[in-house]
Amino acid sequence: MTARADLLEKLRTKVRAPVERRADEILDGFGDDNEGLAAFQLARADLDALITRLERDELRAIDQSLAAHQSELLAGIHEMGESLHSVKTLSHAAEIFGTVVGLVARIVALA
Amino acid sequence: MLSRRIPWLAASLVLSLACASVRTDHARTVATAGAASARAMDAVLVLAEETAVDADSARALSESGGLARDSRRQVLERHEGIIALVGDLERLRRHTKLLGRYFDALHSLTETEGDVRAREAAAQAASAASDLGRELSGSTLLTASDRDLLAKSAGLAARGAREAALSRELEAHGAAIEQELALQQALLVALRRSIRVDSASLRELAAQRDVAAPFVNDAIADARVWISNRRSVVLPPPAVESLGNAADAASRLRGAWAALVSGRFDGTAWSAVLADAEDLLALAHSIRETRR
Repeated sequence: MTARADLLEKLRTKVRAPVERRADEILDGFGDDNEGLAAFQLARADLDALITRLERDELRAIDQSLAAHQSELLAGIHEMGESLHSVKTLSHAAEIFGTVVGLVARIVALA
Repeated sequence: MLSRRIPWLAASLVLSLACASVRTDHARTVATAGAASARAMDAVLVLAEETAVDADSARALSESGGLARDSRRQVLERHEGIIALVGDLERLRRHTKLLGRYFDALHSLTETEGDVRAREAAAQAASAASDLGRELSGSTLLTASDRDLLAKSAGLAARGAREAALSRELEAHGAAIEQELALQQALLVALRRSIRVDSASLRELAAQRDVAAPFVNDAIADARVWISNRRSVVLPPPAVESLGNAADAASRLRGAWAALVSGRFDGTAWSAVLADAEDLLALAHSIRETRR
């Protein structure tokens, strides 16, 4: 696991998850301190935004690497399509050849 | 003379392509598993999107508790990043679908139904030619063995072209697909972590919001709904645990692809990859069913 992935995992499991687990108790603890409560709730939202940004970074790194292969995938699909067309043409030719030979044989036999 | 030459010609063609045919079978197996893997990955990406959005909404709700209007707006603004995250996941879905199309194309290339049709047509032709010889000269032009070998050799032209195309494809793009499968495996591992975390958040927050709070505050409006909510947070979500098996399957698919590209054949590995394909399709189906 890279340092970034490790940080992301720690923020998700060691920081946010315990807060979510005890959110109600913590919020009750603020009592009438509305300012403290608002600061805490906005800090939680900031943490979420940071985690989302790290998740996006992780996904975008994979996406960029995948995008580097996109042209190869498209080329492979195109080339295999053309090859398949050639193979089908050969199969079809063999079928036609067989049918024609069979017909000629029958015609000659009847003559 | 013709009767003597045909068996040797056909037999040598059959032998020369026998080994290559094993590679085609292997390629068809890997293509089947690859296409199944791409479909399962798409289902996992959709599950990741939906779980991420739901968990983000649950967090926004939890974080807005006890706040004034302005602060609530600020909380919502801090959650706008989820829209971009969904955009990233959608791009990954498009790419995964492209990989699925690649394996579908590979599967089509390794389909040998056309070769069988050509072989049947040639068998009929050989039989007709033999009948013709009997009619013309009173003796058979081809023996039964000749006719059989002629039939076998008829599909070989198509099969040879198929094998050559497969070799060209593996040589041209084999390494790129290998890297692609490694990236897909890394993506699956990342998605599995996200889904597990988001799923746990969803359950935790739902347990507080929909189960504990209404119960403690004696504010249950509908007992049936409360019971149903409690059930959904107590019973384990089945799809999340299956994602571990999908990651193992992705690893085996990579191994099978590497073996195919390098020309190594392993019957046990083929069976495992085919079994994985069935499991992955079942996983995709179970994810879709869970979302309904």
